[in-house]
Amino acid sequence: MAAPHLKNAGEEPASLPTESTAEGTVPEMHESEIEVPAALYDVVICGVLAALGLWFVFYALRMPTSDAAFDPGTFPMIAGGLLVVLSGLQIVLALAGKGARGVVGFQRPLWLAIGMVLVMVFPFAVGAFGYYLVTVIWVPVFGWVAGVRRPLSLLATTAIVLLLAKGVFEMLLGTPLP
Amino acid sequence: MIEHFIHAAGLVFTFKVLIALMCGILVGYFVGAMPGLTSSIGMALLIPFTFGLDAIPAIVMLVSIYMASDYAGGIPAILVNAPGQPASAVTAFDGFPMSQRGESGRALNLSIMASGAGALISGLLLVISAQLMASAALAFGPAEYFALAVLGLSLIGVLSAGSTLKAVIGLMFGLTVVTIGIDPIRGSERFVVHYLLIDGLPFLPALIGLFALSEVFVMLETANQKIMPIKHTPSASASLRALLPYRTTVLRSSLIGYFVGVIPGAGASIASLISYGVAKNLSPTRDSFGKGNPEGIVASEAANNASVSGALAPLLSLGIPGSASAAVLIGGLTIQGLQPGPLLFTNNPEIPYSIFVGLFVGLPIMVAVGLFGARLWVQITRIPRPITATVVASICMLGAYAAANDTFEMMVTAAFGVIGYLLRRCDIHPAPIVLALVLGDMLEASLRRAMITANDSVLSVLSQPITAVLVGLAVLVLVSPMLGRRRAV
Repeated sequence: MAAPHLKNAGEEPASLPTESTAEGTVPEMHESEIEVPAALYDVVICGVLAALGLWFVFYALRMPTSDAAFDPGTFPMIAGGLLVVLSGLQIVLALAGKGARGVVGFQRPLWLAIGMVLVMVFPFAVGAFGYYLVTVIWVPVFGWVAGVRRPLSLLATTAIVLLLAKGVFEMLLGTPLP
Repeated sequence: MIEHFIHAAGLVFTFKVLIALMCGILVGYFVGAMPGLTSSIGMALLIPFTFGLDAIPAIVMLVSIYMASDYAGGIPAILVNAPGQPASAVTAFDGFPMSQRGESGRALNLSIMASGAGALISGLLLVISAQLMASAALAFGPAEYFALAVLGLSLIGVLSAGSTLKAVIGLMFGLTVVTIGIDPIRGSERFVVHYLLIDGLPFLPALIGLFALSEVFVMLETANQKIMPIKHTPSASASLRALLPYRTTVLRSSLIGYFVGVIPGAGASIASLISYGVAKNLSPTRDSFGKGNPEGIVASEAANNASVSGALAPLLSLGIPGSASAAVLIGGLTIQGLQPGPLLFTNNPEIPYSIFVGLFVGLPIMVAVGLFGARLWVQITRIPRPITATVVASICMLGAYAAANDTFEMMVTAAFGVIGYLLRRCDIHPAPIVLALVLGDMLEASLRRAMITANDSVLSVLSQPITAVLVGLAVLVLVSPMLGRRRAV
């Protein structure tokens, strides 16, 4: 099975953008791009989905049964079972090279990964430190990761989000934020 | 019907509802003009803002976003060849060449006027057909509802973009995870790995994650995309006369758009493609299509706007969403404690009729906002993607929290954002997953109720005439692409 191919590997690291433009973003960034064979990517994703389907089938089988044709576990067992079968079929097709899509390219992979981590961390941080404190730090950091470079743009974006939260959610809609 | 209209008009012509309508139109134009943001994303982001509103302003606002985003998608498609909505890609075929010839004002006028005409014709069809469909559906029992859900899901699987197999995998993923929570018939717990999942997977946070947050990750990837310079931004004049030579195309495209919109999964993109293809085939100047033929713009825009009303018909009358945006609208309705379906016309007639009135009241406003705000809407395409991504990500989290005032909802959004992005890259799009989340409960509960009524006999359930026809159609829909492929081989 082919390994993921890192374009420009060894030539330059996933670079940190340095230039800024009039719009406050970085239009030209010489970033590496990770390219994964689409077949491999399909196998991995469908493998995970098949595993998820199996988990549902396994626990559905352990649910209490009765004389009725449909018990609480029957529907999830059918849906989970079909998920396993169809994902398995897709894996077989991918391995056989049917419907090949070439490669799946991930641009700005480092920034993308950091962005995902930031999003995953946000709810825990809000729970621990409160919405406003976390947002004042999180929005500029996420903005930087997204490619905003001008401090004024970062400041304005943070202000917009805080205004939305305070003005619309808390004051207008009466949603108390933690 | 007339008295319902009069009552609904009284409810819509209030300050609160008109403001909601205007907000919906402006937000709709914003997301419609912005490449990358779609009507479903805009609606998913706006749903949390409707929590504090009454049902009518909330629903009118969401429907306005849905309508206006389709109007706006054509503007950047014509001026900068960057379709604001996927369906507007067809508009760019002829719109952008016209713009390059210096006829952008005429192209914009035709686009907006054709959108308005399509919306008007399809709106009238919606009023007539939704009530009729709802009356017929009142006779439906659980078996028929089960069959209807099966047909809806099979159509969604086959008609969704990309591979059918992957779309069905997406459906199965949605149908599997929707079983988390309390069993709808016996009330026993299923797959409740965390006590906060006892009420099931929170729909709205999952929806925001799948549609909006996953798009943020796509934006993170394309942050270095150059912003296309706009050479000139003309103003367009409102001229109905310009549309007169294309009146047959308008009527035909509106009908195509409406009926394609009714079919679950088909949506605006397919409607505008079919309509464009038909217009091209019937035209004596078919060679000029794709090179700046105004009829191409009219065919595309009338159809894609008509499909919006088409998608609302099965949603309001049967509770089956005709498109991803309609599925989001179901979320908006359920949050207001309303159950879309035939009983909506009996129990809450003010809701569907307020939507109808809202559509007609909003129509001239949408046309005016489109024509006279063209300069502004095209400037929106110049907002840097990184800034949009940051603001959208923040609103996603804020909206998810507002769903239940709990950070758990934010975690669900974050998780589904990542899942949605990873699945997208595998060509498993979020629309089938969301539609399965919407229809999953109805599918299971209807099937099990039907089985109880039929003394656990599958044959008795399937032998009921309407059920048999609908299930037969579903099988045909699923099998026909394979048969077509075999014949082609």
